[in-house]
Amino acid sequence: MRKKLQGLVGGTAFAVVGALGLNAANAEALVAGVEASFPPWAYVEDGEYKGIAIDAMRAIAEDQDMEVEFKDLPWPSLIPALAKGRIDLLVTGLNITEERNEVLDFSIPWWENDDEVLVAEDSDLNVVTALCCGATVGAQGGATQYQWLEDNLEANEDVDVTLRSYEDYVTAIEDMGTGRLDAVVTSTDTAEDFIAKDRPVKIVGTIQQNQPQALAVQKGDPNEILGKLNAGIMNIYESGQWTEIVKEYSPQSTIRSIPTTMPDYVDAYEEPIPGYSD
Amino acid sequence: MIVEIIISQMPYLLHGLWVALQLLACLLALGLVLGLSLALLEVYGHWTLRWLGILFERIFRGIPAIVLLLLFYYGVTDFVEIGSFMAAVLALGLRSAAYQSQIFRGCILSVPPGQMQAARAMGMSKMKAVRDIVLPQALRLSIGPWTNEFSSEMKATSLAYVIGVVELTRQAKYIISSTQGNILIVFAVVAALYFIFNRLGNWGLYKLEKKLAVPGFEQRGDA
Amino acid sequence: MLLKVENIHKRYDETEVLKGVSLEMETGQSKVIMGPSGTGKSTLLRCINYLTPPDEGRVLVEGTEITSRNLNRMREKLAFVFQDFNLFTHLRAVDNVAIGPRKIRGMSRRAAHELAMRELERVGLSERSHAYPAELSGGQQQRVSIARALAMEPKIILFDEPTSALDPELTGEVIAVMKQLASEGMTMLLVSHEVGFARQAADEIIFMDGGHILEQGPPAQLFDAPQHERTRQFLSRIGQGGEAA
Repeated sequence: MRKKLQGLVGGTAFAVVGALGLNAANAEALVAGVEASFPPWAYVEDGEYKGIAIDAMRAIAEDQDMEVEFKDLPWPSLIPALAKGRIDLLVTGLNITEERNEVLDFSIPWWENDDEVLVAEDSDLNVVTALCCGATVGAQGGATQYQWLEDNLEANEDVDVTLRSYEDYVTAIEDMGTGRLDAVVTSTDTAEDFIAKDRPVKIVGTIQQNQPQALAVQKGDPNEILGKLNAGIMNIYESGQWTEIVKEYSPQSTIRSIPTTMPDYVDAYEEPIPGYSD
Repeated sequence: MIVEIIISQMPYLLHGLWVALQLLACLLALGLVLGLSLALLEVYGHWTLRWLGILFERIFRGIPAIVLLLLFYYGVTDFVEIGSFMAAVLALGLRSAAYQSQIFRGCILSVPPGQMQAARAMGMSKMKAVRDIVLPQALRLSIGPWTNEFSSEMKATSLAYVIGVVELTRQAKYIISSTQGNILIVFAVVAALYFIFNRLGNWGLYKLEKKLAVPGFEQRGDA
Repeated sequence: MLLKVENIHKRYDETEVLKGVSLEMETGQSKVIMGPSGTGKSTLLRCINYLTPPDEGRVLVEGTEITSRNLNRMREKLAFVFQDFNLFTHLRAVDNVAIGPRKIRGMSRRAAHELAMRELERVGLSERSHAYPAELSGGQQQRVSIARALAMEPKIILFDEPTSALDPELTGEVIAVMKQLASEGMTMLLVSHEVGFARQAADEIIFMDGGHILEQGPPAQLFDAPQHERTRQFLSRIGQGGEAA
C-alpha cells in the first residue's frame, strides 16, 4: 500500500519536471506583448492571433528581418510588463499619452482615433444626456477614454456622471445591455467593430480627440528596435500592405497618412527619429 | 449560431482546460512536496525550523493569490528568468504548500503518539518510524481534507491569466472578444468544464481514499 | 548478567518518581514488579529501554551500557509490550509482526513474512493473520503485539501492564501466552498485578513503593511471608491469590 502512495508522489513529481519543459521559449525572438481581447487591433480567433496590430507587426517583422513572438497579457499588465522588461515591445491599439511617454518610448504614430459615445440600441439618450445628469458611463480602466472621462466629466460636479471602470470593452457593453450602464465611451474603431458584429448598440456622438496610436518599446529602447519598427511601419505603409491589413479588419475605416499627428511631448519624436528621419 | 460558436471553439476551450490542469498538477505537486516537508519540520524539527515554517505559512496564507501571482511574475523574475507558467506554478504552488502543510501537520499530529513509541521501542530510528509508521497513517487521513485543497486550487488556476497564462478562463475571453459578446453562454460552458473536472477529481480522490482505507480505522461513511 | 539496572533516578518537575532503583536479571528469569499505583513501576520499565530517558543511573544489556548512540541497536534486544498494545493501525496482523524484522533487522520480505507467521502461530493467531488491528479483540491485539515483540528475537521482553486494558474475560488468553513464553525460557520483566501469573511463572517478585524497591524475593516468600507492612497492605488490597486467572 505504501507503494501506491509512493507512486502517487512520484507521478506528480514527474508532472512537475515535465511542465518545466513548457517554458522553453525561443530565446532569440523579441516578445511582443498584446492584449488579445481588443478587436480589431489584437484578438485570438480559432487559436490564432489576429487583428490590425498583429498582422502589421508580422509584416514589419518580415520587412525588417526580425523574429517576434506574441505574448498575451491582460490590459492592466501590459505597460508594467514592458517597463519591467518581461516583454520587449507592445503591439496593440495603444494611444500615445504624456503619462505613458514617461515610462515607454513610442514608434511613429500609425493611427489616429476619436472616441465614440455608445448607448443601447433602444436608448433615448443623446450625446449630451448620455454624459450628464445622473448617467452611469463605462470605459476600460487605464484607457485614455477613462482618463478623459475622469478629467473632464467626473471631476466636474455640475455634470454629475458616475464612472465605471472595466477590464475590457466587451464586459462594459454587456453591462450596458443589462441596464447597469447608460453609455460606454470607446475609441472609434472599437465602436465600429461592435456595430459591425451586430451588438445592440448605437453611436450617439463623437468626441473629437485626434488621438494618435503607435507601437511602444521600453524607455530608452535598450534592445534598439525602435529604428526597425519605424522603418518597417513606413515600408508597409508605402507598399500598400498597411491599407490591405486595415481594410481586412475594419473596412469602414479611413486610412490616414503615416505618421499621423506627432505630439511634441514624446521624447522619441525628437529629431532625428530613428528609422524615419535619421 | 451560438451553439456553432461553442462547438467550433470547443477545442480551444479544452486546450485552455489542459493548460489549467497542467498548472494544477504542477502547483499541487510542488505544494505536496514542500507542504509535507514543512509539516514534518514543524512537527519534528528544531524550534527554529518550526518557527520558520510557521512564518512561511502565515505569509503565503495571508496574501491574495492574485497578488502573489503578480509578485512572482514581476518580482522574482528580476533574479531568475522564468516564464508566466513557472511564475504561476511558484506563486500558487508555494501558497498551496502553506495550506497543505497545515493539512499534513494536523494529520501527523492526529496519529496517536503510541504509534511512534511502539516503533521507537522496537529499535526503529525516528526517520524510519516517521516514514514507515506515522506517514502512511497520516497520509491516509489527509486525503479527505486534501480534496478540498484540490478543489480550491483548481479554481485558483483561473487567476493565472493575469500574468499571461492562457488557461481556460483566458481562452473564454478570446472567444468573447473575437465575437464581441456571448459572455454568459461562454462562461456557462467554462463553468461546466470546471465543474465536471472538479467532480472527476473529487471522485478519483474519494476512490483513492476508499481503496487505501484500513478496515475499522478512521473510515468515512459506512463502517 | 543479562540485564543490569543501576541506580535509576527520574523526576518529573517537582516529584522524584524513581529514587535510585537497581535490579538485575539472568537469562531465562522472569520477574514481576508490583506495587501501588504511582510508585514508578511503569516509569522504571520505560527507563530501562529509554522510552523515558532516566535522569541518573545506567542500564546495561549483556554488559553494554545503553547510550544515545547505541540506543536503536540496544532496543532490538529489549522488546516492549504496551498496556494499550499500540499495534500499527494501518498494517495487518502479520505485517505488524513482520515490519520489525524487515525494516530493522533487514530481512527479506519473504523471510520476514514467514517468521511473522511462525510467531503468530506461537501466540495462537495464525488464522487472523490478515486482520487489521481494529478487527481484532483486545486480547487478540495484545497477543499480536507479543508476537511483534518475539519477532525481534529479543534477549528480554518488558511487559507494561499487559492485561490492564483488557476486559476480565480476555486476560486469560494473554496470560496463557505469557506463561508459555516463561516456560520456554524467555527472559521477561513485567509490571503486572496478575498474582496468578506471578505465583506460577515468576522467579521473583519485586515490590516497589514510593520510587524504591521495598523488597524482592521468590513469589512464595513475598506473597506468603512479606517482610514489610506496606507490602502486606498492598497484597491484601489486591486480594492476594484471588485475582488469578
